[in-house]
Amino acid sequence: MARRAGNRRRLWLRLGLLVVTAIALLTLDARGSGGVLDTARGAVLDILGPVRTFGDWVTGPIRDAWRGVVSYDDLEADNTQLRGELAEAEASILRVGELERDRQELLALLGARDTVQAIPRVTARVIDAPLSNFERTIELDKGHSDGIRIGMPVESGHGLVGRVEKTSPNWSRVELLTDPNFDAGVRIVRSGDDGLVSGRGPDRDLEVSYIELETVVIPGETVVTSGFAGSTFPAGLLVGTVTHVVPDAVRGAQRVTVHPAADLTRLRWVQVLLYEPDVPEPVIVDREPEPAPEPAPDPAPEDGAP
Amino acid sequence: MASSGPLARSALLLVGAVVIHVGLLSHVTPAGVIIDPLVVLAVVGGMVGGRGTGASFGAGCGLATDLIVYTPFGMSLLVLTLVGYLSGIIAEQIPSAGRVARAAVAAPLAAGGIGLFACAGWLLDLAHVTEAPIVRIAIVTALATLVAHPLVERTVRWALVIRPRIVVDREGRSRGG
Repeated sequence: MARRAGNRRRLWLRLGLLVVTAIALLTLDARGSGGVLDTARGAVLDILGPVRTFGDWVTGPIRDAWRGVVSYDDLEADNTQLRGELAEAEASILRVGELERDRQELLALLGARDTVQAIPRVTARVIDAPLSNFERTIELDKGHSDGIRIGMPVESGHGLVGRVEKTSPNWSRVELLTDPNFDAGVRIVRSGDDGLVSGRGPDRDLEVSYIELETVVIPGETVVTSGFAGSTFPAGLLVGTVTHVVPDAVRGAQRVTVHPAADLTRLRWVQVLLYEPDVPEPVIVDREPEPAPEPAPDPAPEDGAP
Repeated sequence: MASSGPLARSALLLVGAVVIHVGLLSHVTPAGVIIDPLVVLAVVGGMVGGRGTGASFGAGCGLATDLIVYTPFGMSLLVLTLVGYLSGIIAEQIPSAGRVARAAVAAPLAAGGIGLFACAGWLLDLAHVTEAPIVRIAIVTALATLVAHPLVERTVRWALVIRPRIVVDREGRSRGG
């Protein structure tokens, strides 16, 4: 009987120790003191990198074939739609070319630089395999050995995809712009009003806040990054188009819903913009109190004064 | 798991499971769900080894998950420790269950593990966990556990150096446990 009680106590002790260890690790991670833990995780993922790539290489054709069989109708519909879009695109190439020439001339006249185009980029392949059902990020096969740093913007050919969240020498992880933690300063192009775009979860449109009630916003308008001072995004990156506008009298602002321009479900290749924002010089504030000014001497009495 | 044999074998099994997870299962996603072999291992570890070994084995599975998945570090450790322990308690209630019955018990336990993970995500206010299709993930994980149970159980028995149980019925016939 006593042995059984002892066994039970040992079991509880073991469980308790493991639970306490887990909670301690969670606390360390939440407090941002998990540098060692992050390093360990990064090292393990670095070691497993070739395994992931190999797995992707082996299973890729099988997955593609399976998708082809299962979603043949969808592929056919996509194909038809893409042919239509291609025809439209071909028709508008000339017009776009003229507009681009006009834009370049205007930039030259203004003496401005085409900043987005001038930013160097690294093209990276999306490792199409999050390791858990509870991860909503994508991983790239390029890391800080290619010049990629945390916070750098990532875009596809269609628009903004997100920002680099973690890097290691050979891979990096991207926070998608639909992630609830994502936000960025944006500008609604036609009205010129600035706001803050935030993610609302996978498969949901984005929301732009802080757009004044007086501003006229029309569905279909283009939204780009505003690139305000200190932002991790340069000005002019395409974010998406406005789909809904709802005035919110309580907040005194409009809730603008934006559909992302980039198709986040079919990312294969992306570009990381090697953009590092100009951080303003820190202002040094002299905290020592200035000596109080001496009281001005009384004006000399005028002649004839008592 | 006191001697070095089971420890080394368990470590080898965990490394193998991680490699299979990373190299194969993360790419093959039935119904868009990634089957997490470490959840299945934690459940079967608890059922095979009992609550104490289950807790330790689940902790190993959790730590391995924490090292490869970007959820708060320690979350998988906590969840899978509890999953291993609870699986051990449940298994102790059905000591003479046959293979099919054990697989049938393991499947909902694995689904429960996913539910526990979602609860932890909710407690920690992780939108990307709570907004995941939990029911679908739980169903697919349960089905995968049901199918893979015989193989996983055999592997875990090898790792924990536990001999297969032989259950003898009243008429003296024996069947493999």
